[in-house]
Amino acid sequence: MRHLRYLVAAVAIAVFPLVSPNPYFINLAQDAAIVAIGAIGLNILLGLSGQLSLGQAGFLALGAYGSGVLSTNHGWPLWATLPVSLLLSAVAGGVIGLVALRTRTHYLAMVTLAFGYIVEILSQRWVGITGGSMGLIGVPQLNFGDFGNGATYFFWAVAAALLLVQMMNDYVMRSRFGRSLHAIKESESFALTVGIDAARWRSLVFVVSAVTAGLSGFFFAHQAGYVSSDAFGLDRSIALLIAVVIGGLGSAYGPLLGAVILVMLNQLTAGLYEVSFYIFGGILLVVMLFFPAGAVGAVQRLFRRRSSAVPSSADVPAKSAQPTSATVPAAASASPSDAPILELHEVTKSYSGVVAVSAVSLKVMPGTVHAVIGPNGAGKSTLINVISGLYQPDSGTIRFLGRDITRLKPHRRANLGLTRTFQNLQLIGTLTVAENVMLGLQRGRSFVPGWLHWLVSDSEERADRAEATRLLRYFNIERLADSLPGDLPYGHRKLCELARALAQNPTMLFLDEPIAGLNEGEALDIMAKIRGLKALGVTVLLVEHNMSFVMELSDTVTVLDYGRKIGEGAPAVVKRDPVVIAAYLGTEDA
Amino acid sequence: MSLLTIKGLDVGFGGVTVLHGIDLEIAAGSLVAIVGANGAGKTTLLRALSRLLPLRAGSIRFDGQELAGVAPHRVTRMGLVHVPQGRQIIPTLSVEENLLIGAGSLPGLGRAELDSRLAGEYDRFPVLRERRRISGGSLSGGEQQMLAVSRALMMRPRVLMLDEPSLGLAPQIITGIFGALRALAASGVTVLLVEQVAFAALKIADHGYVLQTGRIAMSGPPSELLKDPELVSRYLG
Repeated sequence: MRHLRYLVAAVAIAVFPLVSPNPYFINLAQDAAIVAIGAIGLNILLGLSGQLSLGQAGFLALGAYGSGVLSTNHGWPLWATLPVSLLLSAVAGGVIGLVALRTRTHYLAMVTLAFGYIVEILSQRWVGITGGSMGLIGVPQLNFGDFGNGATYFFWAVAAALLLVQMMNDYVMRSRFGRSLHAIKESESFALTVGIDAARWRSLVFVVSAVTAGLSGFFFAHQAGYVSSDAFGLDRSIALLIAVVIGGLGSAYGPLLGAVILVMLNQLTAGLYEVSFYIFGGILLVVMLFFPAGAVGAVQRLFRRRSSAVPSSADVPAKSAQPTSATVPAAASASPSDAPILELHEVTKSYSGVVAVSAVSLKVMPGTVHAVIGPNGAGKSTLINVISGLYQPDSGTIRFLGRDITRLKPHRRANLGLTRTFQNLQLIGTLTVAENVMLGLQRGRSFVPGWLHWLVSDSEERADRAEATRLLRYFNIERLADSLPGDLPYGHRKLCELARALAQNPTMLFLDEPIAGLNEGEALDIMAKIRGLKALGVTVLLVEHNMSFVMELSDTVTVLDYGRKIGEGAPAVVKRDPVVIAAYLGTEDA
Repeated sequence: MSLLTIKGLDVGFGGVTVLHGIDLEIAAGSLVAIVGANGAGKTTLLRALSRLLPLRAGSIRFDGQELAGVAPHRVTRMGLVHVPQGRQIIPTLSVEENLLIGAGSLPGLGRAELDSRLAGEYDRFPVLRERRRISGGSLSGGEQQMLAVSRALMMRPRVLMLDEPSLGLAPQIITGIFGALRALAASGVTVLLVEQVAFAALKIADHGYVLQTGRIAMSGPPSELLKDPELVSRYLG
C-alpha cells in the first residue's frame, strides 16, 4: 500500500514535466516542492512536538547562503556544498533546540523570532559575504549543464528530495517516534514517566526541522541562481506556518497540500500585492475557525460523512469482569526475596518553606501490594513525584532493586521497570487507544536504521500493535483499540492507562488513585486485575482514597500526615490505630 | 424552617459521576457540618451548590427559589457565598484589597458602608487590621483562612459555605476559626461547613451529615454521630 503510493508519486514526478503544457507550471511545481520540504519539518516541530518556531527563515537562509557562497565565491561543486549547508542548519537547529529546553510556548516563539531576525540582519549587513540586499549574483543553477531542460532536471531533483523527506515524515508519523512526540506535546512529565527522554527529543526535533528548512533553502538558492537577503524576512517564516496550518497541523500530508495551496494563492494574489496580507489573514482566520484540522481535515470529514461505518463508543457491549488467564501478559520476573524492592531512607522534600515530606522512610517488599494513605495535604502527591523522579528530594536516598536512584532522571527510572499511572489520566487525546498502549513499548531501532527497515517492511509496527492488542484483550477492551480516548467512558480510559502501564513491562507498578471516579463494578474489576498482576510477581505501590478498596487489597499500609509517617502495618492494625484515626477525623479539641 | 433544600442531586464531570442522589436540609441560622474522607465528594458538592459545576439531576432550592439555572455570580449576590478550598487569596494584593474584591463589586455599596464592613471584619479578626497594608501572600496559613472567611462575610451572606477551612492548619488555629464560625451562626448567619476533621466539626455543629464515596452515608444530631463507631469505619473502611 505504502510502496504503491510512493511508486505512484515517483511516476507522477517523472511524467509531470513531460506532460506539463508549459514551463510556467514546472516552475510553480518547483516552488511548491521547495515550500513543502520546509513545511514538513515545521509540521513535525509544531504539529507533533508542539514547539512553535517563527524563525524557520533563518535556517532557510543558512542553507541558501551556505551553499550559495561556497559554490559562487569558492567554486565548490554542489554535491559538496549540500552536506555542508545542511550541517550548518543542523548546528543552528541544535543550538536553538538547546535553548528550547529552557524556554516554552510563547517564550520559545520569541526566541526563534529573534534568531530569524539575527540571521536576516546578518545577511543584510554582512555584504562582503552575502551581497546584502543587492544579492549574491551568479549562483550556479542546478540544471545539470543543460539550459534547455534545466527546469525539468531541477524539478526532478527537488521533487525527489521532497519524496524522500515525505517518506521520512511518514515514518515519524507512524512509528514510536511520532507517538513519543505527541506524548511530549501533551505532557512532558508524563512522557518522562513512560521512559521518553523528552529533553533529547525536543532538541532533536529542532535539528530535523532546521535541516529540512536548510534543504529547502539549498534548492531555493540554486533555483533562480540569485540569493538576496530580502527573501529571508519574517514573512517567509510566516508563509511556512500558513502552509502548515492551512494544510492541516500535525497531519502527514497537510504540509504538502498546504504548500500547493500557498503557491496557488500567491499566484492568484500576485496582482493584488497591497491587499495580499489581508487575503492571507482572512484565509487563515477562516481555516482556524471552521477547519481547525486544515485542508486535510476538511477532506477527511467529507469522506467520513459518506461512510457512516465509524465505530462509536455507544455500541460498547457490557464487559465481562472475569480476566481470561490465557491472555495474561508476560510475567515481570521479580524473584521473591527478603530484600525490599523499593527503599526510601529519610526522604525530605520542601518547597517555599513548607515541608511537604519530612524524613519519610519506607520499604516496599517484592510481590506485595503496598498502600500509602493519608488525609488531604499529607504529602502523598509529593511522595509519588519524588519516587517517580519528577521531583528531586532535598535529602535522603531512594533505592530501587538495590540500586541508588535518588539522582536518576524519571525516564531512566521508567526504563528500570518503575512504572506509574496518573490520578488525572494521562492519555494522549490525538492517539488511538492502541497507540496509547504502544507508547508504553519504548523499544526498537534507533531512527535511521528504523526508517530503512520500515521502507522495506513494517513488521516492527505490526509486532508492537499485536502486543498492544494482547494487553487490551487482557482488560477486555480490545474492540476499542481504534477509538480515541476522549470517546471512551471513564472506566475504559482507566483500563487503557493500566494497559499502557503493563506495556512498559513493570517490575513495580505505581498506581495513583486507580479507582477514583469508577463505579463499584469497575472498581471490583480493577481489583481483580491488580490481584492478577500480583500473582504474576509484580509489586504494586498504591495511593487511593477509597479505604475499603485499600484495606481489602493491600498487604501493608503506610499512613502519612503533615508529611510524616505516622503509622504502618497490616490493614487491620492500621484501621484501629488511634493516631491514624485522629489524623483522619481530628480530635474533638480540633 | 429550611433555608436551603437540596433534593436528588447528581453531579459529575467528564465521564465521572461524583455525587449520587444527595438530599440535604439546612435550617436558617444553623451550623451544618458535612464530613467525609478525601475523595468523598465534599468539594464537588460545594462547587455544585455555588453553581460552578453543572447538575446532572436534582434541585437546589434557596429560600424558595430554584438555583439550578442561575449563574455563579448571581448565586453569590443572592447571599450564598462560597469560601473555596485552599483559600484563594490573591497574593499580590494587600489584605484590605483582598477584602474588597467581592464586596467592592456589589452594586449600590457606598464607601461608608464598605468602611463599616471592613471595621467589622477587623474587629472579628484583629490580626487582619494589623496586616491590612501587607500583601495577602505573606500571611500565614491561619491568617489567610481568616482573610478568606472575612472576604466572604464582607458580602453579608445569608449562607456561608466553607470548604475544609482546617486544611493544613495547626489544631489551636482550627479551634480559633471554628469558634468564629460558631459565633457567626449564633448571630444568625447560616453556616455550611464541609470538613475532613469530623470530630471537631461535628462538635460545633447543630446537624451533621457524613459523606462517603459520593453518597450521604449517615446523618443526624452531632452528639449521636460522634458516639457511633460507624463514623470511623466510614473513613477507614
